[in-house]
Amino acid sequence: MNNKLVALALLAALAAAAVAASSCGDRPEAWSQPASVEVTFGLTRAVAVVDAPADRVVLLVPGTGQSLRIDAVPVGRNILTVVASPKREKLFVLSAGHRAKIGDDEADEKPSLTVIEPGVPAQRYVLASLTDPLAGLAIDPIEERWAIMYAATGPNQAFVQNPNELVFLDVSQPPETATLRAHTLHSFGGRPARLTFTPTLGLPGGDRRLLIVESDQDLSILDLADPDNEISVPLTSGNDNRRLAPAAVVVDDGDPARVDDARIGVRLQNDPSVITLTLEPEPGTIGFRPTVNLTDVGGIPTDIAFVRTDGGLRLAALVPPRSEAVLVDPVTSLTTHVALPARYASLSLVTDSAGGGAGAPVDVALLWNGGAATDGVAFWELGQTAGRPYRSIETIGVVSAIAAVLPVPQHPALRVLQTASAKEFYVLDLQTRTAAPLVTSTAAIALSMSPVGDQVWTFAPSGTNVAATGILDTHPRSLIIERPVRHVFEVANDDGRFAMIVHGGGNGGVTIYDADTLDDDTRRLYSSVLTGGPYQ
Amino acid sequence: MRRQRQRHLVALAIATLSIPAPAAAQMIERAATKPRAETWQAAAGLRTMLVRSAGYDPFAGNDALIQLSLGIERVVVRNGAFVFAGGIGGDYGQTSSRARGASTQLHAGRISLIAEGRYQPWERGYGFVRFAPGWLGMSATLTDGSAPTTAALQDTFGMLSADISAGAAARVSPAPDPVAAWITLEGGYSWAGSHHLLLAPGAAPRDQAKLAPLDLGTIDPRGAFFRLALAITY
Repeated sequence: MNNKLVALALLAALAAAAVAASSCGDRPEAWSQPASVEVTFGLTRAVAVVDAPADRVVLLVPGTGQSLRIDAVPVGRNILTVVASPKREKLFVLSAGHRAKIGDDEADEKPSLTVIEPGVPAQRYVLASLTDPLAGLAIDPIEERWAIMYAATGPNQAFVQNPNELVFLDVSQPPETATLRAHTLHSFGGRPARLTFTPTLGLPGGDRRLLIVESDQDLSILDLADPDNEISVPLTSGNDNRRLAPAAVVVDDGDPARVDDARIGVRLQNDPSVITLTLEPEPGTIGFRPTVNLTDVGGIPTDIAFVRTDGGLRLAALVPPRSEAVLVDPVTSLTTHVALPARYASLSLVTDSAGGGAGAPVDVALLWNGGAATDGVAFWELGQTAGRPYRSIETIGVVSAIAAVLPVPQHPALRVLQTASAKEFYVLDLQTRTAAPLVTSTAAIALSMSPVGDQVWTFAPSGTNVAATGILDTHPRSLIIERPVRHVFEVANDDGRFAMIVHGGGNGGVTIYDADTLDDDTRRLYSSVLTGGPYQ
Repeated sequence: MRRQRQRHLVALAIATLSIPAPAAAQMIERAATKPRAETWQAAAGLRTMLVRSAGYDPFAGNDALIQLSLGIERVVVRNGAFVFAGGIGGDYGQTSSRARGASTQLHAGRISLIAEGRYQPWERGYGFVRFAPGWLGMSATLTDGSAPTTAALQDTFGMLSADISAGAAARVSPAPDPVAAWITLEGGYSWAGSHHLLLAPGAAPRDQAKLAPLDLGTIDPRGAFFRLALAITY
């Protein structure tokens, strides 16, 4: 009997060992995390889905026959910010990393910036000199050379942070040689809110590019080639001690033959004034100093632009409460008030197509975003402002308030007008000044422009309606969609041109159409595109 | 007189009981208590296999695949303490999990031929080695809201497999019974081929060309295993 008990005990022990061994080998934690296509970017050659719970970016690369290659690109842990490059060829992913404490099962990881470009191995820049993450990220939109990190507001910030510290990273250098350069702005108490990269400007001391940093109460101008060359301008009212908060800046290089007439225009959030800063020569390291002019335009402007008029260069400001535009002479600060037929809040220069073409002496502006449903759009001829400015406005018969004006690639004379009601949209021909309406059966539509510029994609988010409308013939063609739509992108690569309809719900799906033929029979549907590994 | 005769009978009886039995009778009695040489064995138990393959991760929170095992064997050759038996066996199990929020299931069934060699130096225990080639059939399903139809995405496949294992058995029933119960424990390695998981959405044949399968990579359903079973022999 004792032998039997011993045998049973031995068997039980072996069984327990077997069960214990079987419990080893857990799968990666990411398998247990939910997935979502909510944060998705349409790049030129692929669609990029940010899979934050798995610390990766999933590239959906379409191919011949509407095939799909799914590339999972690992990025640094704890994604903070993701920004697509302005040319939409790259994705910049800023990660906080992980600071391992004693006994931590997870390895220590420094903050990092991962640059992802479809078809090219990803580059990861380890930000070794940073301990705490900087969540703000700005990418140079012109050369895509500079990535600038700065402290962002929001939760999970560092115990102590320097809000005026900018960290420059030259991403044209490989990760092995790229170094971080930190610069603290000469702050007057504000913290950076927006960064603007200028094109190359003719400045005293040589052509160069500038970085303009708007804080909530001042403006800083930095030489991009040497950020230590900085000028900070406190923004104060001339009448009281209020701090003026900038809302946006515009830049003009002036006469290309001169180096003393580059200007920066500033509109303000909390004052009915605009500011012009003329960058004039001054001996010193940076070679220039800004001359500041503050001009009252009668109301808080909603948009500004440097324009060329028959009277010379002016800073145009739209003042919707007064239904007027104000032209400010940046030299004399004299103003010309132009009455507008509606409370237009936005303007775009369309001189290339609606005016005298590139290099024309006077500009033509498109006014939009009026307050009423019948305001539509208007052309503003800036060659008639000196004599009879009231004759310079021509309205177009668009019977909806325009919320956005989308440029059409490769068709500079066309614009797509997105309406505020989102029940229709228009294709605007700048040369004939006609607007072709396209009406949708549902409201709250979203638009996505083809990078080739031959069609505009219309869809209802969370609905199952997608249509492609030819830009030239305004002929709509609908697609067959089985699942609710979250995003629509058009992607072009060596294998062709594809419409990528991204579906929300579950682990994300995508329907791929040949964007040239839009043939229903050759479309392919992919399910659960975020499910597959590998995971870190 | 009668009382004296009774004493003699009691004494005879005691003497009879106390007299040793003849040698031949002893041999017959021992042969009757030796366990019968059982020919058939039926077993049922639990089999736990460790599947280290990354392709298994969508379907389970860890590497364990637990299956119900059934088997039946017949002794073919007996030579002293050495026994060779053959038979058939089957294992079936399923595991379910969530893969990034999608519900998943994996079914694994295996049928095999068993070739087993035993060494039984004691009446109450023996050791054995076993080789069991067979066919492994599996079915992987995933149900996700992004699928174009309400049907689950599925991949059903099969492959050759083979187990090689060693173990021990302990008899837990009384020795004289003609039907004996045993506890067996074995460990070994289970080999099977690889399979590239392509889970296809359910749809009519005319629509299949439009529906791409979900690629979950390669699953290698092989690894070490343990089996704990109760066997009945007769």
